[in-house]
Amino acid sequence: MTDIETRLIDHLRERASAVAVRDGFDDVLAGTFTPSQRAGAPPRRTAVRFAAASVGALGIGAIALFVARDVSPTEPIDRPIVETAPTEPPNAMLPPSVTIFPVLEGVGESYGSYAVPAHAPTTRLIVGTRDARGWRDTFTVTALNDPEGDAPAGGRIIDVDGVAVTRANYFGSVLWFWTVGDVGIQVQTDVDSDPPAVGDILVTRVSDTEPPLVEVEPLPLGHVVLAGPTSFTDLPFPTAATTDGGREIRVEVRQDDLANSLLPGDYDSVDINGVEGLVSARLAGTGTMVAWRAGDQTVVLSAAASTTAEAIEMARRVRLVDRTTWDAIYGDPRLAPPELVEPASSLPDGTSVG
Amino acid sequence: MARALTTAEQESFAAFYALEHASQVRRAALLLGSDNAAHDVVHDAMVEVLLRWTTLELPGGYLNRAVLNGCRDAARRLAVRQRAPNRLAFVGSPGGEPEVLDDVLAELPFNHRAAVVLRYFHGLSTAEIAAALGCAPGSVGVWIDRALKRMREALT
Repeated sequence: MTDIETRLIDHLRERASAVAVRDGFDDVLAGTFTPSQRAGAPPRRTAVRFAAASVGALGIGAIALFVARDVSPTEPIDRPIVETAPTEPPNAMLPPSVTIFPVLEGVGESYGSYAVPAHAPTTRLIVGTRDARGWRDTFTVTALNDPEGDAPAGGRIIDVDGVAVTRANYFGSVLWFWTVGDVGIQVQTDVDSDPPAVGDILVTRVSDTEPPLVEVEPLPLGHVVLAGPTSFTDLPFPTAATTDGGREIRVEVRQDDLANSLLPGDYDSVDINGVEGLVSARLAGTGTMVAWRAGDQTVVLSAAASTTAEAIEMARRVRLVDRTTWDAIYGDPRLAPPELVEPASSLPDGTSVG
Repeated sequence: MARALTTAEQESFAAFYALEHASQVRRAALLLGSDNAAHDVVHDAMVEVLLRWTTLELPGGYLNRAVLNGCRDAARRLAVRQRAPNRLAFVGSPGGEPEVLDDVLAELPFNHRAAVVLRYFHGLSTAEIAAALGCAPGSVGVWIDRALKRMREALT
């Protein structure tokens, strides 16, 4: 026993002995309020669940449970203790080549966790939640293993459901937190995991009552590779053009090395068919994604690039994603882009497009 | 669906509660740094146990996992709410070394903190800690070593 262990034991015992244990057996038996709620806080769903179960014991539990579910449709009915046998949700969102990792279950604010293997340059996860009614809220989280990055353990979340993560907050030495739309991602870096991992990913949904930690403009994008003729120019800025269903798309990328971003290699503005991009783009280095939204159109460059030329090469993968396409691919109306309208018929210089 | 407990079942649950409640609250308080939060977590876990009292084969093990999971969830909620790493804010802390140890514990990832508490407060073995936390036994020793190293650094 080392000195520090002895001091730690003494410390823990001292702290534990100072805890004033209050007997709450009657409350547990009655299934009513938690100790801190006696002071006036509203009863939590524990009480609702217990009441439902008790009523059920009298023969009308099913009705009570149904009512309880309707009262709080977003809350799981029964909080499972962490189950050790993860299963895979039905998911048609990913192309066949993407590895689907086991889904870890969770409820409430915590949707599960998964350690990203350190040997994988990027890892794609499906993280989801399940309650008595089946699977809900599955997210595809792509993590980049970046040992040289400035994250404590080199792990980065780079997109959620194909949406590029654009900002991050840093918490102390152990926690990174990102939000995309209303989906929050926590990466609890843990270099000591066994096997080694770059991070334990925790997916949370930011509640309606709790504002997002950071303001992030959601980028509802797809990343479908588009076949078709593509041409490029490099003056004055790299420009890519391709064709999507007979509609020509011109994408002008402006590199902005001075952009204030957590990610390297920023490309901070874009024109799509002459429409100034409204949302800045982020290029997160090799194996990541660049996404833009210009006017009411959405474009994504699925990039594996570290230079401008490579990024432009990736513009071969440009396409517009409208709501119908999004729904067909992702089926998640929460992140759907706005209705697509016809693009401008000509560029500012008069060049006809489309 | 739960059924009403018989008198004998209620008495057996009462004995279980009397045996487990205080130690679970103290453990949860060490993990969360809050007496109230600890009471809430243990209360919820006890309710879950009670609802399954007639079907659980190992209610003690179930309670342990339920409390640990409840603490994990509570710690996350606190972290999100506070937008900063938790500080185990024991009321009336006199400062000095105890407070430093509290800070180090608070900065640890939950599993590391739980491993330390289970080892040095409850005296569990590595295998028992791994089983309680649902992790590989190899992780436990590393977590504890890392925590002790941080404490040494903080106290020197």
